[in-house]
Amino acid sequence: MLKPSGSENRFLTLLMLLACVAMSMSIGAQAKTLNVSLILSETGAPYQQFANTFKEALAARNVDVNIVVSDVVSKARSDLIVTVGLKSAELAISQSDIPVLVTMVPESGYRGLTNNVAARNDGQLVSAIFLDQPLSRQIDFIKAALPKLGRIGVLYSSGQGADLEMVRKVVARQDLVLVAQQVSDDGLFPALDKVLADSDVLLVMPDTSIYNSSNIRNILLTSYRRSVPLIGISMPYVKAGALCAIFSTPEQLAVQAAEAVSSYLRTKRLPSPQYPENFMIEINRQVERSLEIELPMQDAIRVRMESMGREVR
Amino acid sequence: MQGLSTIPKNAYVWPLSIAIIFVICLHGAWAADYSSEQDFFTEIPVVLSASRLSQPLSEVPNAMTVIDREMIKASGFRTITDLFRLVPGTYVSYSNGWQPIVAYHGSTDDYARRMQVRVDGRSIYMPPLGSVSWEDLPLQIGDIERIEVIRGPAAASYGGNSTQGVINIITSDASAMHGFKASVSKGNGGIADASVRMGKSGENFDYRLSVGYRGDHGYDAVQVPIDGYPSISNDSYQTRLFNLRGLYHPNAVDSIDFQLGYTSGSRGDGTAKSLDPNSPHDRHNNEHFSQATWIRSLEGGDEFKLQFYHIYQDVLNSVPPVAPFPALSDSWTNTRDDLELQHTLHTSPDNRLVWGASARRDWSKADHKFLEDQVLKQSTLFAHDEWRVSSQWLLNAGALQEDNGMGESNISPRVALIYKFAPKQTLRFGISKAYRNPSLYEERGDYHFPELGATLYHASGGLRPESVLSREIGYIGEFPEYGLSVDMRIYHDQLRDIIFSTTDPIPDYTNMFDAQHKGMEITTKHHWGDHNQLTFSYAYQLLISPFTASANSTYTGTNYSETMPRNMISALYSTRFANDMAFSMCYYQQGSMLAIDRGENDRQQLTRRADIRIAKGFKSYTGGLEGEVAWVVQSLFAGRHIDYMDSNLFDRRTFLTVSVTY
Repeated sequence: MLKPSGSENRFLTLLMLLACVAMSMSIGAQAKTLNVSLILSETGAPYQQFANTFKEALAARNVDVNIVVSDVVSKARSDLIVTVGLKSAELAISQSDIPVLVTMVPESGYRGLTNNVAARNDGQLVSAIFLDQPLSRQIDFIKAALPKLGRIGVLYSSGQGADLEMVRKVVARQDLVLVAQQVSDDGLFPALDKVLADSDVLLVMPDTSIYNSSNIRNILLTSYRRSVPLIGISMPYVKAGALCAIFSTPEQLAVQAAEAVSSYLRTKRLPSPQYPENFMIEINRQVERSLEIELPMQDAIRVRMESMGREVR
Repeated sequence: MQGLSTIPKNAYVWPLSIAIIFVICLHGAWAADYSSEQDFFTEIPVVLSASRLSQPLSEVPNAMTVIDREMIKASGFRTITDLFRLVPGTYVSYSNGWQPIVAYHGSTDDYARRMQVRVDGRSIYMPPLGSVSWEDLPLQIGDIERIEVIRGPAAASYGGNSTQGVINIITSDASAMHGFKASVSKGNGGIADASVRMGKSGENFDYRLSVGYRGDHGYDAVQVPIDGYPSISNDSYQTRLFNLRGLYHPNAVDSIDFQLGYTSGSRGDGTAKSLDPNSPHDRHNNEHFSQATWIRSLEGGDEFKLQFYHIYQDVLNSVPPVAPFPALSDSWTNTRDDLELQHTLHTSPDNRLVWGASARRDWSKADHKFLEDQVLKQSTLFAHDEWRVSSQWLLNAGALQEDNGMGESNISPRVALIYKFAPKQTLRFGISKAYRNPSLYEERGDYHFPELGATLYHASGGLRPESVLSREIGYIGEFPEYGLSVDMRIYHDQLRDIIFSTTDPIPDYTNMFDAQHKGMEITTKHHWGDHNQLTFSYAYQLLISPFTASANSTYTGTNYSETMPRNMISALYSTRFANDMAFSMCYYQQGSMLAIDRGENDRQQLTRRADIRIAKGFKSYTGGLEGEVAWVVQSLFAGRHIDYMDSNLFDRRTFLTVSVTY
């Protein structure tokens, strides 16, 4: 019998090692590829922008993104569902039990959803990246952009009364006064008249019963007539005639969502619900001139906001 | 699976339907209750588009007075024309109870032909006389959002006939009225007004609608014997008005605004003097208009605007016979169609250009004022540019080229340089040239009554447009710490070829004389406390010309320099109290003057007038219903004063207005 020589031995060991490495690599690859269903609520531009950026941001990762625009959660098994918008969030939470990362949904919409549906689906891993800005950031923004104005008006409907104390506190932290006016059964206009009479700016707080398509036009016109600038919550508001707004774009949210997915890939845990990290500042310079209000340049506002953030924290 | 396959297919339907309905209901409930991303991404119609945004006073290339809703209310005035008393340097009077005269810097004749007047961009400076039929305008004072009065020539922006100023009336938006409002006024001198308005806003359609009635006894209220005859000036009037404004905004970038209006009314005319063929009678005036404006908002705040309007006026003036004269007729109709397009574009962040063109057709049918029907086709081409040279300097330059339809073509340029030398402190240097075209009547009129065998006026034609070269320096300062703003200007206007009537046996119009207008105007606005507001204006003006109206039977040699008061003051103070009480007081002072086409008897001495308004608001206990009772006294302290001519004696007027809103 031929005994294997030392060199052969070394060769075999190498082969075995290589095989082991190859095996372990292939097993590792199989274990770590994350199947993500990205469910868009609709096909419109913001959803597409989100999807494109999201896919791009995860291209280099071990993540397989399957994009669907669907009313029914796909039967194909995935490890994680990322939803874009309220409708898909609702479907994913109510129809599946796999982890869900809700994105591009305002905080109040998300809270409503989880309170109602998640109760039936205990134990499901659900988190969110909100669409709206934290209130403190908005107040910092107003303070940074319009330092001379002291009274912030808001309109709220009966359902929102509870949050008001929190709003008042955040506003007071910047030495500002909150002028809150409830929109009652008398309709929008008496409330609008009252709030505009006492406010320097009107801050939009998302509420479909107030800021809907029939009302926004009138709110913008009336506030302009009274020389009370409107602080919007999105680009369409600024285009329509709001003085300014801070908001996060679908792309910014998609990058943040991709980061959350990467972290899930490593830790199997979703970060807790969070506000957008990045945001845009948009100013309607025509309205600014017409109302004779001078706002600093966007970059200067951002710098001021950052310094405020440091002081407050 | 086998088991399942034996179940008939229909068995799926019910559970599936229930599931779908459940999901839909659930979704419906959330959509209503919770904020969704739609609140952020849904396109919102461009509400504050370029043409809706008003320019701040400090960036307007002219001096401008703004009269807003608060001032309109506080003034207590019932008629639009009275509001111009609040504009420094403006003469407001009446040639009779229903024919107001509004003249800025002179031109104090009964037609006041030298100001352009626009309502939502619709010119109501009408042929054949070149006048504004204020009382026939289908617009109630309560439907006005604000009035911008440009003091000084602005032909570069507004075209011909803007030689001394432009009145821009902006009516409230279709969406500004919600619910229902009714008001009734009753006072002495036959004052009886009523109005009902309602409106509604929807997702893509808004409208407001108003109907009204207005009337008083004019100067009949005070009977003054003239030349030994009892004066029956017979100038009572009643006007019924209808106005509808709608706005259709089908998507985020387009809006179509349309307006319809109608007035109809009787106007007392004629006198009881013997040997006057114009015996007492009522004229019947009708006017209607329709207007449509399409605005398309473009990227970056640019805008495209296309506007069309049609105006029709009809005056039925049949004079009954009075011995020895036969019955007479002096009726006429007027039709105007106008199409204008305007494009606003930002060529860079610091430069905005507005350009456009318009075409207009006026058709006057006035058998006694002309020998044949008159058709006038005018067109304009205009451009103006606003360049922010730096954060301190703003350059406004523009010009308008106009074909006046009577064989003349003019170019009216304007340049204004604005210098913001400190925060909220602005200086303005402006120079502009403007033309006033002769009116159809001045150029082609032939006022004749074959029944009497008389020609009262005959135009020989060949008139040149009047021109004005205006130079001004303006200052606008704001002192927010004192609640104070100051708007001041000094000006020098060189007027040429002023058209005036000759006194030949048959009068004619000629380019009779030149003149210089110089002066100073200042307006301060001061607010203090929570609700105290004071607007004060003072105008000092010098009219210089060798011209003296030659003496004839009516005008006994008016000196041009006294056709406007040298000093004028207006002040408006308003305040509100906690218990829904409001108080306002106005003061108007006008130096001695004599209207350009009047005689010495008609001299208006120094006139002081104070008006007050006291109002109390109320609410129904259940809410929903609100209202106000307001009491207005005009000419509170002073006795009677002359308006325009000696037979027009204005005495104290008082009226009560009750309004309810639901």
